[in-house]
Amino acid sequence: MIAVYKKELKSYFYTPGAYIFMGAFLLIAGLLFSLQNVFAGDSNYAGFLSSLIFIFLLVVPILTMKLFTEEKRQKTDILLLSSPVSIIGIVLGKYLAAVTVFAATLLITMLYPLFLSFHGRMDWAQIWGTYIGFFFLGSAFIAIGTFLSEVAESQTSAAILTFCGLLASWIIDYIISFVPTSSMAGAIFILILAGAAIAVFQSKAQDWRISAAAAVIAIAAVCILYIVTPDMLYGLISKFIAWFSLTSRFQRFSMGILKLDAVIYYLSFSAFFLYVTGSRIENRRWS
Amino acid sequence: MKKISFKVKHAAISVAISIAVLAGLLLINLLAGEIDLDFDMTKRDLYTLTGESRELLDGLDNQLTLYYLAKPGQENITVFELLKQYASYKNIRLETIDPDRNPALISQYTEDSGEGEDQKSIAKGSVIIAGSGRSRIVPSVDLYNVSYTEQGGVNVYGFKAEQSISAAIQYVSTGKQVTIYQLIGHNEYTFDDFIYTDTLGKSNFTIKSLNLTTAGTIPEDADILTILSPAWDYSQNEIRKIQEFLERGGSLYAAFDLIQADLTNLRTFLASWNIAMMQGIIMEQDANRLIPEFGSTPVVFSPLYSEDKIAQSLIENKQSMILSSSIGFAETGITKRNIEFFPILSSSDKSWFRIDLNAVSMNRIITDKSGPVFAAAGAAEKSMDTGFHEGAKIIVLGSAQSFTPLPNVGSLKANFDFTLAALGWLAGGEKAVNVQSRSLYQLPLQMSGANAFLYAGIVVILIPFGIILTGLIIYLRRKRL
Repeated sequence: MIAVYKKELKSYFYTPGAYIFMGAFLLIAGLLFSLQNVFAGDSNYAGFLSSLIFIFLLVVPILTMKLFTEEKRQKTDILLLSSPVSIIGIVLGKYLAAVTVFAATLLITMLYPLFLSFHGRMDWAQIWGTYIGFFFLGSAFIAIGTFLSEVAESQTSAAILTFCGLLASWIIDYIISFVPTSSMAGAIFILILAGAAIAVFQSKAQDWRISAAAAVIAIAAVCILYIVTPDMLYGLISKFIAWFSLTSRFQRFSMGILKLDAVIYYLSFSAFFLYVTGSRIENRRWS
Repeated sequence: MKKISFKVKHAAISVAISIAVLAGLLLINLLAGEIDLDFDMTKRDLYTLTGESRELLDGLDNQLTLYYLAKPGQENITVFELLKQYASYKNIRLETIDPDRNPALISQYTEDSGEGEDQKSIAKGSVIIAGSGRSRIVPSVDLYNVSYTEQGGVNVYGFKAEQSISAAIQYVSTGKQVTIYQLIGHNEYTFDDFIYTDTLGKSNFTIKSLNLTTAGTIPEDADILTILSPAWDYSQNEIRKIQEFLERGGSLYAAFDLIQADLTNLRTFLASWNIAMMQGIIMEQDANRLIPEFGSTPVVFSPLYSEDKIAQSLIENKQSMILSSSIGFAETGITKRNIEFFPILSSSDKSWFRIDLNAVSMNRIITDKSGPVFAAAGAAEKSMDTGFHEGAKIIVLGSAQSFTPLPNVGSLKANFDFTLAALGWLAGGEKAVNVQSRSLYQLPLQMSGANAFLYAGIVVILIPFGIILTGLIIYLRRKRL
């Protein structure tokens, strides 16, 4: 894993990738910081960090688009897959290299509150809390980008896919207020999820009898649930969608609350996408 | 028996592993959610319950439910985090309910609380505290300190959710309220004149009026007496009743105005509590404390806070009170050892105290006494063994008229907050939860224009373009290799 990490980090800094990411991020962040804090005389730095999330959505694709697509383009993915490095080592090495570049960029922005501290009283504990949250949020974004880089065939499509994916996670909080909340909607939603899972199974197994049996069981279970405890299904869609909201959990950090469950959520969110990335590579290795 | 194909086996294993990973991650998240470990890193502990609230919740012996009115997934995180802290106590249950889906439940509590508000006005963001037989609604507007700009904009400067919710829990769990008897019969103000009655009601204060001349005694349920700017003196008999009430451990809030009438009995009574009421008017000269809206006249000024027990939230929120034509107070020359005198509001070092009220000059004259002068003070009985305040408490204020709506500025929020904090301190004990609101105010930066441009230059030009340039040089060098 270390070898992949070192190689990936070198490739970031020997090519313009990392510099474009860092330069673009710090330019927009600097502009925002100047307008929001320096010229406005506002000492609320946590508020500034929260507004950086949208910029991060724009620049993460630059950071992650080449992680796997570049290997595919140069046909070095075959070499990588046949190397003695484990799949998890490959995925983690590449992911951690991207996270390192992100962390280095974040480290540079720590100069900003330092400047402000010469001219006013800063709530340092809250600033540290927000930075910790921003780091975990950014790492989760990078995990999504890593996965989509594996899915895509070219850097451009990886960048577009990543941007769309991150945008979707960002607008989740706005979508929630528009989704239906009735118990019936909740029941239909479960059926759609079950249908999707069965479809995936069917595409792999090509066994319609097992798929049909699973579908019947799912319909029966949802019907029972709807009749016995309809309240359980009430607001299910919004609760389900809210669970995927990365930014709502970040709000707690920006408020100055360091929460264990939010940290665990970000770590497991990243772990899930890295696992799915590994699974796809594993499938490719044996196909 | 038919053999399971390789494809089915592979798909099943693959799906099973994925489900196991997902289930494992979900389980870890659920466990972390159960542990609910968090650290409030804010300087003012915005999201941590104060000792007062913790003590109240520890002492609860009946089950209460907090209904937070919000659509699922659309809770206000700031309020919700605080509510979860309440819910971590065994006798508190928290439930988020959608007001659109539960109109019957909400209207039931609207009726119970007797507030007569329609359902819409207590809709989203409000909290209902329900117990067996009693309930109280804390509307969403009562969760924050807000002020309104001249253009009609709303400025949120403080977070008082804990103050409102703890007071409501106190009421719902015990049914007890702090009973204030406002004394009448001497042309005094009442809290209605200050437009305070409604808000005091929501903070667990019940306001009643009492005429000491016609009433035989002060009722047993009285916790605080108020004397709000009497136009003439109290009789010896009335003073005796007040004195007896204080000796039983009662509290007194007395506000005066500069009047011609002789208040000898009240003056003597206050002196017996180490408070000397000075006849005259405070005149301020410090330009930072004068109010331009009042033409910077020396008789209208913003006082300094001399202690932080009562004025804590005002100090934190940078709220400035305004006092107009205030009389002064001082500690008596001869004092009782078991009574502690303490100043609360004062004028600046540059102020003076005018004794000759016939003088019309706005400048200092020879008979004026040098400041600072106390515009509000307190006295509290203390135990000679422990040194803690036990028994009677008094707060006196030199300008009652400042608490009525003032010309040009209206009813001052800071003056009201001071009254609320003062009454909370006077009530003390088991009936009142004296939780201060938390300031959301952040001090602006003191930065010169040159410094601002320097920092902007560093963060917008030097750092980003420096990095891009470094990248370009490295890229070009490697390209040549």
